[in-house]
Amino acid sequence: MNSSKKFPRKQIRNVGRIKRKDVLPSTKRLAATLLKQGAALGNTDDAAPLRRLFAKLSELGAEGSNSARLSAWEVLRDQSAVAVLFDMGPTLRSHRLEVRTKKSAPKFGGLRLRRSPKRSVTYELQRASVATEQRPVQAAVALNEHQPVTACDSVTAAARAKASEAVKTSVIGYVKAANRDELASAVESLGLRVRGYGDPERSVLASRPLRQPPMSPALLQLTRATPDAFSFEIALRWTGDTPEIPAGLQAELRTMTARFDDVAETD
Amino acid sequence: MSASQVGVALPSAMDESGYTLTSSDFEFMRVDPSDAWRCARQEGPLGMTAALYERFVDTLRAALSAEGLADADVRLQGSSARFFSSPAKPFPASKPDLARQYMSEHGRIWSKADGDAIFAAYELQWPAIRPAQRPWDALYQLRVSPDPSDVDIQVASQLATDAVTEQLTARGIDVNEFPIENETYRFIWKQISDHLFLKLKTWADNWTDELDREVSVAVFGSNGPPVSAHPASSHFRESDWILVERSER
Repeated sequence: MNSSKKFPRKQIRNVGRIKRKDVLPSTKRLAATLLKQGAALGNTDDAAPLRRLFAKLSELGAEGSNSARLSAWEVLRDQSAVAVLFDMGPTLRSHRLEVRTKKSAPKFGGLRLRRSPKRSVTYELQRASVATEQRPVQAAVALNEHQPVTACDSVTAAARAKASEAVKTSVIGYVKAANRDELASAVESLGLRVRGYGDPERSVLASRPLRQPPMSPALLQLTRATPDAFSFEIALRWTGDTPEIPAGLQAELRTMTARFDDVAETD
Repeated sequence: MSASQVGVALPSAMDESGYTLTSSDFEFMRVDPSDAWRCARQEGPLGMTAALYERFVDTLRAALSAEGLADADVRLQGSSARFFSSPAKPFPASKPDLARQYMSEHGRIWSKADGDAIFAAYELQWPAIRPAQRPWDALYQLRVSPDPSDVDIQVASQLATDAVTEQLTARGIDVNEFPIENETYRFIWKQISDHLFLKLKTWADNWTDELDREVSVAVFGSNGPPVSAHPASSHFRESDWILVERSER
């Protein structure tokens, strides 16, 4: 859950012109940053909604007043803004950017625009002094709750399209273990913790996310190969872009299975 | 100072056999009175602080939205909501029962020393009258199970069922000839749902790490589990703990 595990401090510290001490960038700096990022998206049609949103936020941020901050927050909690941000996920990823909600502390909730995956540049849109009656996640939910009735069909269709997004699998190898303790120690070095071994209804006995929302999911999973055999499958499952596996984990997987190559889609 | 020492009032928690948890049981389960009351009032499940519970539900909503399950009805089931597990999971009534449960949980028989210690703790806690259903975390506290009780999430969604059907059809499987539901509990096979709903699974994994106990998600069709006389049935009830209400569309 702790995002610092996924984004090492070193990466976060090397953030362009935003220094570590600037945990709360000024609204002017934020405005400049957003404007620059909006421009970096290029002039493609699919980036236009986000550019417009960035321009609006930049304009408000440039004012630098509390009322402008409040307005910026109102823009963000507006369902169309949230929809834009969520719907722009694939476009952002194609520009090696991502937008994520951040709720690490009540005063610092907000949106984070992050350069990804390796040269990590983090910009945070803070709502520090802004009233907090509704948080970004709730605003995202409100998107579903407050759609006009006439939009039902398209919303349901869009939701359904998301729900049936193709999942790709790459089986990495199999582990044999005679009991829970053996299995637990065999996969411990992969960061997999076995749970529910005694529950016959359970399929996945250990699972580890390799990236966090709003990026598309990628998980390393340990699954019973067959209900009654002492054989367990280690596989990657993901949607969207092929996940990058940390070098340390790749080395562990190679050692364990001696058959791990670059991830290839199997279905 | 323990609850029994100060005589703090505790909520009444009874299993289907009529066994009521005592203050000593709550202490054994490491549940303090305020947490027990929060659970009884459906303000926060066992094993979660109020702040965590609020974030738990917020992030669940976000995960459902990201997954595209806009029609989901989500309920909290199991011992973290009701103090006891489902009647389908009986509490061991004897030393052989304990040994069987240990073997199932560990995949091996216990050592004599472990078995003796477990049985001694069991007899000390329940010398005569015993619950019929498993109290929350009781097997973990007895060291029969290496895992604490899970947080049991029940998702009912037609969009989920449709997505599964679509994915299976794309793999050349005719769902009319391939039942997608577990025969006993009627959830979509976890071999399917845990592999297809990766955003929801990522959410559950993150919370499993945070709580240090499994967050288990079972996915059902739109109406939830069918009504059944089977003790394992978790069909919708008036008393259910609803985490996310289905949005009316």
